[in-house]
Amino acid sequence: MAASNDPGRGYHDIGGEPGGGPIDPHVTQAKPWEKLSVAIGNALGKGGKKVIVTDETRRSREEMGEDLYNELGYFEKGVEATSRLLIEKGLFTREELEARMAAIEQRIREQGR
Amino acid sequence: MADDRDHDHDHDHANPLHNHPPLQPDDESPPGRHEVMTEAMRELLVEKGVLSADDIRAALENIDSWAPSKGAQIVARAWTDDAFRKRLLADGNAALAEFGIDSGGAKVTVVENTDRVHNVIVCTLCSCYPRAVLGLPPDWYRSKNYRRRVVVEPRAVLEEFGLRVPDDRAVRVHDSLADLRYLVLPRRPEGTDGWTEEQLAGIVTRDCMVGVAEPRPE
Repeated sequence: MAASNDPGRGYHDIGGEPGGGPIDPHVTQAKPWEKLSVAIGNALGKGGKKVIVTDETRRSREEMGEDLYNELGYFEKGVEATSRLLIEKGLFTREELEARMAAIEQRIREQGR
Repeated sequence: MADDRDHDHDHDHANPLHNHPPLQPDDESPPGRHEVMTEAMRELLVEKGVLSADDIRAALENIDSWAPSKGAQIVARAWTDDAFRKRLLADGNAALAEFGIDSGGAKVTVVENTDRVHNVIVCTLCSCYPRAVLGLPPDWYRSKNYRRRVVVEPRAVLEEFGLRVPDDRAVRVHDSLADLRYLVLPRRPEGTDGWTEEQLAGIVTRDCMVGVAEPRPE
């Protein structure tokens, strides 16, 4: 019955989806990098530099693809979505990001966090 | 002045962004891809002048100011000051601003539990949450099972949290959006007559303001 231009249901739109199991009530504390990821998003957003808006990061989250969406954790999804959006906006390139990541990974391995 | 003679280690002084002491010297696990990505974004954004180190410091400090104790103060005030309660229900953002709380742009709607209605909140699309008054959302609030199930079988979900809502009390589930957040105003429990606002705030927990628990006078 759906119209031909019906976009369908997004992979993020899971309210009411059947097959849900028990809810794990265990609560963990956010790690330093997880808090940093939220801080960067806030500093770029409405209460900060206004470089990004919430709906853009939401759209980025909803466009990363179902496999990645289901594979990544909560904070990881946020970082993935924000980095994709910032590359799209030209604030840095994918190559710059990957090169810096390689350098940081090596630094953490050698010098710790 | 930097003086290399004082240094016999190879800490990367060439990079001004890494001149902090180790943040987590005890965590020696290999860094995950998105932890590294976060740090890389921070460095690139600061180097390119998009954000300053102080912008990031201030944003981190702001996150640390978010706490359920803020929400609890608001609930206790609503229980003891009926005019405030009415303002809170009419315009959540304005009532929060009376406590100096900036709710961050999204509309905050406060839903009141009564003898006839029990409210519970969720964000089925992601994890929208009134962070300024509750902190970062707990793991279960962000979990797919909570997001899937609470909108179709809220009574069963609440029972999993140990909350049995009487059959003659309606359960209303509020699905949040990026632009609209909910906060539950719990019922003031029996046995709290004469309590101070501070005492009352002490029994209002995060889960009570999400709607998966009720305050208990203990």
